[in-house]
Amino acid sequence: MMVRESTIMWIQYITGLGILVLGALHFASLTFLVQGGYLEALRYKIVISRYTDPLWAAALEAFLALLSYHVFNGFRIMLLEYNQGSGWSKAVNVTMFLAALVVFLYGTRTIITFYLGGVA
Amino acid sequence: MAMSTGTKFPRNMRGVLGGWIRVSHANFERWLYLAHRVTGLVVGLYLIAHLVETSDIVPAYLSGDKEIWTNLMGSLSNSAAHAGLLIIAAFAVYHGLNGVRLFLAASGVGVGRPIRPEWPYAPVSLRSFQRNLGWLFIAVTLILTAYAFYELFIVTHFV
Repeated sequence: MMVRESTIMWIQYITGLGILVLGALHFASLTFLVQGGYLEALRYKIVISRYTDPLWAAALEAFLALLSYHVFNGFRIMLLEYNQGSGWSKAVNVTMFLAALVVFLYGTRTIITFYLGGVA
Repeated sequence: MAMSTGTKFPRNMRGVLGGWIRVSHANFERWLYLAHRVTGLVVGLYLIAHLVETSDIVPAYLSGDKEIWTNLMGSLSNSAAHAGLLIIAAFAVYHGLNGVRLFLAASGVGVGRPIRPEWPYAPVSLRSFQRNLGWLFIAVTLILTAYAFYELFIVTHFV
């Protein structure tokens, strides 16, 4: 399926705006939303409470999905600027898509562990 | 630019070193562009490391051994790791805010109306709202980085 580069770029901007909102929430959850601040937010009990709360887990999953697209499309843009050619473009497109997919699935495994009883 | 044989695209002979990092006579927006690329690259690579790091919660949860997580966090609770996180926080904030500026520019917001080229021939886009936004976002980045410094160093060590 061919997607126009202009469409890909608009998705890059939209995912970026989403990341800004969810990133701010992530930053807040590690600082002023927790009494005791950053060190307290990293305690096992607090971290588990975030993952087991469906709303926080959904926010993390959405954050991960947006980041997977935005980061690897960003890498793709840089690599396509670095060199041109149809063979290079295809290799970069496929590699970055697969890398984004792997990173998304890897991060999802952590989040869904708390709902599926564990994915070893 | 030389054309590479067998392709319809001109080959980029400058690459990263001759392209992005060539900043002699660079204007403000060019520095913002370079910073956007570098911060994006660093934060993107950090994402991968962060996912690997946080995946340690899985064996801790499944085995019921919270020490796996506590030990990892303990090993990362030092000044060097916190300095690294501070850099990541600053880079992430800058990249996000500068991204908003780029989004607005791509949408035609704040770039000024086209005018007849007149001395000193500075494009309208370089002396309008967009440039002020660049400075504003740098200031906000510094303020939020100062807050991250407070959380990572002052609260952690002194409060």
